[in-house]
Amino acid sequence: MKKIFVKIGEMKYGETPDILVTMGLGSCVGVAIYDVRKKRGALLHFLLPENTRDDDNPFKYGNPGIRETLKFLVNRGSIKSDLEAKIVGGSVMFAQLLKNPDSAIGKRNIEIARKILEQEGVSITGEDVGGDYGRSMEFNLESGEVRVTSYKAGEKVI
Amino acid sequence: MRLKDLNKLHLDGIKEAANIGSGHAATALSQMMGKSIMVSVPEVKVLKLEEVPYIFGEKTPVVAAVLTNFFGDITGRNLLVFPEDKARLLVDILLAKNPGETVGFGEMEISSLKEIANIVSSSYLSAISEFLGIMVLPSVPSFTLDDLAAVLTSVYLQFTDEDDREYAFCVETSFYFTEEAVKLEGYLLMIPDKMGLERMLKSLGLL
Repeated sequence: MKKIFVKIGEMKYGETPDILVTMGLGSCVGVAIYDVRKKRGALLHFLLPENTRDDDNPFKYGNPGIRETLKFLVNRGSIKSDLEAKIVGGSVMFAQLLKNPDSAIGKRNIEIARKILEQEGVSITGEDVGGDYGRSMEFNLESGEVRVTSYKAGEKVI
Repeated sequence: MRLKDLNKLHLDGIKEAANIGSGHAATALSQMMGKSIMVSVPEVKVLKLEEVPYIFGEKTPVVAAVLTNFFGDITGRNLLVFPEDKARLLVDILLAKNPGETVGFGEMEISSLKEIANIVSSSYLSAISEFLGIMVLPSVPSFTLDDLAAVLTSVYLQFTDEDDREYAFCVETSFYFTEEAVKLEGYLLMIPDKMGLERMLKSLGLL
């Protein structure tokens, strides 16, 4: 078993028995895509909803980051209907200082993740999103489980 | 102006203003706490957005963080950060408890840390205002206790201009209390918005 660390704005691939790890999700969203048949998958840690300025790193953005992640797995032989997603993060910190907390980046990141996954026909089988606190996630590629830890809300498995 | 085009002259000018700000902030904090404080020379940082979680280094511990917006002639925010264990020691001093007595962060503890942030931010900004001949006011402070990486990325992503998110800018100052048995340090980040940064550079005659 090896732990593979996914930094902010990155996507990484792993196979059983690897564990994909990403830390410090605040308003960012982590998307774990699991191939239930081949027991492998990828983890994306994106920062912002849309790439509006031709940034050359797609993985900083929900769109196209999620589509690129799915494409990556399909190019490696996964069948799209075998893929499932879990999404984590998208919190809103310091909400009292935001002019418009309803359109906070965290919320928009969650929305874009749900939207793109729906458009791509990949079902979301687990979520731990929102709130006002940071999270870390460990994506177990043997079981497909995602362990979410946070300083404020403790630990849970989705 | 683009952040990555800032030259050494620009950065030195901002550093000079920040130096005056942090000097005043340290004096105010020192008087409030009745303790002497050493303050570092400010560091001006321009980094890629992906590097934001690691402004203070690779490790991202749990921190007590207080964010204050500022507005007026320049807009932006100040983030005051203490490692969690150091924040507890600070509260011990402020509430005249024995070292180690503070275990968690209830209303009293949070409000004393916000008060510290208020003093630090206000004195920092008023010194900068005076130096640059502009008006800047701080907002009410907002507190969180969380993973440093989550705090830093949230601060940058939630508040900075949508169209300028390739690079991140901040002025970092660290300080510590000199008489404590355990090193008690804190960090202040000043994060002006792009317009605010331009206004500061104009006031300095650099733009």
